[in-house]
Amino acid sequence: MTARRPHSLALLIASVIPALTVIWTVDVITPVIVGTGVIVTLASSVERFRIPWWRVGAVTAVAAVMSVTSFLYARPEGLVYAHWGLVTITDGSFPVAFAAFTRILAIAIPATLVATLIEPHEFIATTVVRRVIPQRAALASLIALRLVPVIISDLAETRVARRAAGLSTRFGSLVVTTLVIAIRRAIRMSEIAEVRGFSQPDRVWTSYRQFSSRDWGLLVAVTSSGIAALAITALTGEWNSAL
Amino acid sequence: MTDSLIEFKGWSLSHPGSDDAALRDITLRVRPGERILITGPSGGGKSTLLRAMAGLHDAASTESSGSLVRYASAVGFVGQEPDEQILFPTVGEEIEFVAETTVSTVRKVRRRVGEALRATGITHSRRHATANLSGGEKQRLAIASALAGKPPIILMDEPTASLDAASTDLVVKSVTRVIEKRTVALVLVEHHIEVWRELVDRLIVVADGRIVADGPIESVLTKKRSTLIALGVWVPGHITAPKPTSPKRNASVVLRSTDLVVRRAATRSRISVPDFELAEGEVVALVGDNGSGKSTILRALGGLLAPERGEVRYAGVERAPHKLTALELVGEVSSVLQNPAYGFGSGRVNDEAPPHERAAVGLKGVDSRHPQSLSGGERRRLGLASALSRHPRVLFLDEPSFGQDANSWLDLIDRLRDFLAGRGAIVVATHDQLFIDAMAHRVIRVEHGKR
Repeated sequence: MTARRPHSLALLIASVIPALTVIWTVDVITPVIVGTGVIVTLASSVERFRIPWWRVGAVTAVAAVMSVTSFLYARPEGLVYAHWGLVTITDGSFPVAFAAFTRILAIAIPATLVATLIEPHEFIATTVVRRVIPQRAALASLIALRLVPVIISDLAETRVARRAAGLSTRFGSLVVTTLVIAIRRAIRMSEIAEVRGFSQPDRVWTSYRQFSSRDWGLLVAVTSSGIAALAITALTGEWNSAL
Repeated sequence: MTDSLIEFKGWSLSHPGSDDAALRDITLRVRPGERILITGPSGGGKSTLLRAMAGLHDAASTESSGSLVRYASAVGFVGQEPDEQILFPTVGEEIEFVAETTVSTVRKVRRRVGEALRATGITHSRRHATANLSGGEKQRLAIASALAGKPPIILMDEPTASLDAASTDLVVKSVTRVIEKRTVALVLVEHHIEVWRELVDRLIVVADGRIVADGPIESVLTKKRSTLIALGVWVPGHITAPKPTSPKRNASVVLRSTDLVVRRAATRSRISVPDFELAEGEVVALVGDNGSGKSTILRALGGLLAPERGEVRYAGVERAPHKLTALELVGEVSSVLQNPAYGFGSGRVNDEAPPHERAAVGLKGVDSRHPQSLSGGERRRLGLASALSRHPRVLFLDEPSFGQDANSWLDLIDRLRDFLAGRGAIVVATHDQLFIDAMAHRVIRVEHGKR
């Protein structure tokens, strides 16, 4: 039995709400409220929700590294702790770096969660049924997704085979051979797709499903989180316009 | 009204400006429920004929004459390479893709998927990831997908070419179930007649682009026996493995493997290899099921990947093979991977191996072709010719006899025996029992590794 899960389109929209919210103000309160709101909403709308700890850890580490830039190069404000060339660490560096860290997390963690929940086939089916993109382009993009891991494995195999032949294993040489093999493979796979009805104009999209009230509820909840975050930031006087 | 599914009348196909296989004056009819096996020498046009039946010949870049009519409303097609048959991430999506074009409601699509799974004996759930299927399971899924369109005919191009005995058995069982009631006709291209002999009732032999024999399988095998043997067809019972020649006494050891443990990347499982020494003139065969780790061991022995533990040493070489540079490595040994196409560095067959080496492995008439355009069997022979041209002391061969017709197979055995006589040594990973019987002095059985 399939676990209950929001519509892939709803998930995708939910994942961009934090970015649309934190764009207005550079502070800590906005990303914390909207990020927490979206994460809690996602968690409560998915049956048997599991946090992908490894991915979340990696995202957090990347956010920490990226916020170092803000820490070192923020506009000088208050007491100067260190100064070297363009690097200036002052009282103002700490809140700016922390704000940058929380903004990145507010955007990246929901996006990471959504990436594990979204079903490409359902999303593509919706875009075709709603006539957003043509059927052939949609099917081709789905099949191309399957080619990605195959090409990665081709690249590794090319490296081994070229070493076996005493040839260069520099990335450039690997790419040329892999590209030739990938194109030939893609042609053969497109033939298989064609013979299985790729070009048939009439298709029942099994993966398509309509938005339910639960999906609309998810969108209302995440949008409310964004609006609430901006309102609270403004009311507490923490608004720091980013525009 | 005709009782044919596909009908050729004096049909010819050519590729202007290309030396790809052509077909000449093909006349044949495929009737509902028939079971046909097409065989013949490598590069003779078997696959081209099958692809024409499927409507896969490129009408824009080919010229044809005569008549080809495909009366069948749909055809199911299963190709040779398991990874290229799978288009979607889950079992259910793979079959739905076909069913979605042939019925009108989601409920009917789901029913079709269930029927196709049952017909082929697949027990995985619809949400099972296709990436986690074995080669044999992928081929069964390809058959299930073909069936979802309820075609009156299913066409298969060497569906078991890269499979071990157990996986081949799975595919044969699936095909047997599918064609049991004769509601679906079967046309199958295959080198190894023996595997399918009980299942098919008609044999067509294609050589040099022409049909040279066509009739009830047992009758063709009996009446045309000498013609088929001359063409290199695997006539059941014709080729018996010649006994391997014994290595010389006191032959020098060229490779020593001690406490070797390798890790198979795909499953992250560890595989322990029994200690062994390889002497000049000797052949060691690694045998085991698909995915057991034979290729990984072969690569560790051939210096293409680092072992997890233990060591491999070549005689007279201080450093471990995986620490040698690529040029140092090919000065000592050569590896021919299962798909040597990954290692071809030039755009013409001519430039990959010298003429005498190509001739010695029976590779003719393909000099100016792109190496990537060769058939699987031809690519393996070119890979071997190229490896031998570097004069290695040890050859590591991964399934060298896949896709070879009987004559090519005998050429392969002859050339490898010459190599052994010249003080070479071989480690080979193979499912081919005849090859093992003809060449191997020792066999190491590889069991599935443990995580």
